[in-house]
Amino acid sequence: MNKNFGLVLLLGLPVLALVPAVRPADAAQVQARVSDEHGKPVADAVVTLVPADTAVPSPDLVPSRATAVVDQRDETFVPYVVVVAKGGTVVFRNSDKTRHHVYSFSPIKQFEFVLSPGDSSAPVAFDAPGIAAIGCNIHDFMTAFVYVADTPFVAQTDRDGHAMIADLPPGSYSARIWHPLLRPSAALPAQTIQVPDGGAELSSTLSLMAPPHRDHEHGLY
Amino acid sequence: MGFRRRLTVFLMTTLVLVQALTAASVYTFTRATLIEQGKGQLADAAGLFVRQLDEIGTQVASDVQVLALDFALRQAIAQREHQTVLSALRNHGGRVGAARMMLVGLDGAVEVDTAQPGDTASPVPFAFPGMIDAAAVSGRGASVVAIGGQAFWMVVVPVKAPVPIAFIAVCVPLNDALLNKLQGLAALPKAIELTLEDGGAWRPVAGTAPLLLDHLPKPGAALPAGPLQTVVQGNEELVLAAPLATPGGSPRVVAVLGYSLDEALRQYQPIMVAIGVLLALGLILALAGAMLVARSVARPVELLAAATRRFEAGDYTPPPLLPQEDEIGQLSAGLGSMARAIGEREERIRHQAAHDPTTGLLNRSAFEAALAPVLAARHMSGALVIVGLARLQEIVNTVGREIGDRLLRDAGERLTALIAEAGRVQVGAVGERSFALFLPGLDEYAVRAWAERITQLFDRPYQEGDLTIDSAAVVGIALAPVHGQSTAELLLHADVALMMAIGSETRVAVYDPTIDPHRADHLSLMSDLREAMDQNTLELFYQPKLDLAAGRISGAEALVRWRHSKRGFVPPDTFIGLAEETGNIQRLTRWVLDVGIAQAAAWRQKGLALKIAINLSVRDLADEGLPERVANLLATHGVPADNLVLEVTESAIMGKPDTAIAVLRRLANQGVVLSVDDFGVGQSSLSYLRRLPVRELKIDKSFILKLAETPDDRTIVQSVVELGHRLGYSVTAEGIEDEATLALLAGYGCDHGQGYHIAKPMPADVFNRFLNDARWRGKRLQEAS
Repeated sequence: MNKNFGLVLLLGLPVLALVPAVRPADAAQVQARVSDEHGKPVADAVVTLVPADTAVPSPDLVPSRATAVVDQRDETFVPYVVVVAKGGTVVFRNSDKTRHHVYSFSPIKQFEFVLSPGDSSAPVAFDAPGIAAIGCNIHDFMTAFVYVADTPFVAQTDRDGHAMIADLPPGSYSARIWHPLLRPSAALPAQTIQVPDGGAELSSTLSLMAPPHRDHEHGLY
Repeated sequence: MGFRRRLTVFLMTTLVLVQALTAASVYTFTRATLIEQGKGQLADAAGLFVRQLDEIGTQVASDVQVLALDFALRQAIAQREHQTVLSALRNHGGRVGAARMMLVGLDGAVEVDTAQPGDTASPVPFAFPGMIDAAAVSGRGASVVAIGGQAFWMVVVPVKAPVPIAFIAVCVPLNDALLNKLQGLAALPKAIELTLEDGGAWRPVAGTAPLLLDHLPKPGAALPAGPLQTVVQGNEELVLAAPLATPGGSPRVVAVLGYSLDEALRQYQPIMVAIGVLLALGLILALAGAMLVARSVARPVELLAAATRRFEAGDYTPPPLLPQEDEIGQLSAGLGSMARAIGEREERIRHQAAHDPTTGLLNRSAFEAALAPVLAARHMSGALVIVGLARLQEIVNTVGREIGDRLLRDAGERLTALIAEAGRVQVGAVGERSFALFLPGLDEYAVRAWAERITQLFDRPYQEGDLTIDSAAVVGIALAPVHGQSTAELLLHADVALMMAIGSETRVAVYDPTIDPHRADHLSLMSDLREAMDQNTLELFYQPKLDLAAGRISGAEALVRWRHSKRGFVPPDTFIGLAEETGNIQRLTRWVLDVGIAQAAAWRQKGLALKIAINLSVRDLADEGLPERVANLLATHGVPADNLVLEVTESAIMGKPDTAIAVLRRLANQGVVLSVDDFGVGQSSLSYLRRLPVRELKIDKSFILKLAETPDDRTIVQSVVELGHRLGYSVTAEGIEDEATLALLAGYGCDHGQGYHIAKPMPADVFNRFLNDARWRGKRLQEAS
């Protein structure tokens, strides 16, 4: 069952990407590759492109009809980062045998509820763009992020650090890359790229913090 | 200082020095070790203290981390409900012992501060932004900080929801209570003080030893890396300043730790006391040992020294032969043989000094010494006998010194044998040819018997080979105590007696003090006599001579009298004999002649025809100037020669050399009348007398004194008178003491009489009165002619 939801999740992005591709006939695509300072591919980085000149028509953001699912298995939120379009909803599901107390104090969306094993939450709607940090009050080490995008040109890197944004009108774009492990004080990496008809490639290097290790078995210290 | 003491002192000094040095080096070493140990301990303690502080920080951080997980708090923080946050922080701050808690936003601004609860409108930046970064990266920031003159543990932890949304900063005061707790937890030094730099001074923050701060360098200067060695209130201390890590923007906070050397040494005090006691015991033992050693070394030396003192006193007993084979042993053996050699030599010298080399008998001084205790102890009578070999000189001259010596030796052996037989004291060789022996408890009679035995002993001649030598022994005897009480006196007097014995027939003489010419008082007497003659204090007495036929005093015999100024009357026999012995008789005779002839002249001037009779000594006859001097005197005074009668004893003229006869003849030729005195007792030979120019015989008074009662005397006197007359001599009788004798003599036809019955000798003035008063008148000049 979990694999089915994973398939849905994986299918979510192409769906998102395919929406604008319906309209302009002369669509281009951007291949993005994100790596860390050591050259290792970085997964779960979110790449967004914002048109930088007026020649590019502002894309219409179609509210997503799909609902993203964030499962909780082995006391881990899966996926770690989920991208939803503004107005999209996320269902939190507990596949563990323990309770989870899911919360978010993020300004874009604050909620909290307890999920008994096997329960799923009601869909949580994210109406404001931004990033919501999701935690479990019972298991502090459990973290997930909901990226609420207000643009259709958004993609999330896979395990190889690759992400593809398709159906782009050629033009000049401002590219932004976000990752949960970016230092809070650091400015988000951004760059302007020209996307020709044939598409473009985007390469970015992130300086990330060490992932918080899951050390609940050894206590907090 | 004696050898033994010096040795003991040296050993003790060495020991004390060594022990003192040992103690000093032990002390120095212990001290140095303690200093090193103290430095190490201080460094360890500083490290421990920092770790303890870190643990406090960690503990606080953990507590705060737990606090930061509180859901409600996180919710309040996330929703910036500052009043809720403030009360929650206050509530939780008490739990972790915090004095102050702050909420710091992700931008570094202080949003909530329990120290300033009202002031949330204008947030101020957090003072230590580095700690925020550390907390963001590593989950916590912890450090000692100084705020407002106080020191705190500042702990900063992020508040995650689940990503960091803010930071909680907690200030735990570092105060005495905390230090006490730390000191209770771990072995921290007692002296520990936290301080911080405050306005150019070290401000004490917490701790037990603020005094230590005075020994830190000035604030702002670099702190020494290692401990300082210094003196705090008279105690030596090691001081270590350990700066605590503080974030940028905070004044320095320093932990100062002290290590008291004195206190550290104090724990060694029992050991020091024990060491001291051991040292003292060791010293006592060593002193005893040193004394024993010194004694064992010095004892033999002292023994030897004592031995040399004995040698000095004359005791040559060898010192105990010490068993050791070292130098002392050799010295002791050497001293022993030296003592023996000296003893033998001294014995030989002593023997030589005390013994006569020829005979081996005691010499004079040794004999005296040997006899002295006998005389002193016993106070007994006895006789000192000297046996002399009168002919020895002659014998030596004839047969030589060697035989003479052997003869002497033989004589000594004979005497020794005789004396030994009688068990008497030993014989001494007191002169070159005389021996002395002492016979105790004998009177004169017994001594004479012994003397007889001695002379008989030498009747047997000495024989050597063909040689036979007759060594005539003479014996002189002095009796103790009458002749002397000391050995020397007795020896002297026995010597005198020996001289007398040589001239005597019996060859034995007992000392006679009256005829001893050597008596000491005689020496002064002679000088007095000479003085008396010079000063005319001698006096001539005159004894009348009666012309028996005429019944007139026809002359006088001049007799010298001496009244000594100190001794009183000195008997004529004494000083005349003395003058003869000492050669003064001629002067005396000269004086008597002077005075006597002058008196005769005086009588003549009074018209008295008195002959003066003067005695001559045998020695006067040796004076060849005598006749001339007599002639001169007679001429000077105008006295006819036949008015002078010179009386000479029989012995004086018998057997004398021709010179004496010649003197007599010359006197006679001058007309001087010569008279033979004491006629009848000597060995006069009438035939010899006949050849002399003698004109008068004076019958010895021994025949006259008892003439009236003794028929023999009467016969002799009558015969002598007749014989004298027939030979042409005038005859005078001496010693007439009664009228009967006077009558008898007158009857016999004796020419002149003299004696007490007529008159005693008297001074010249008395004699003159006697001539006037007596029944016999002095013969007048006219009658004589």
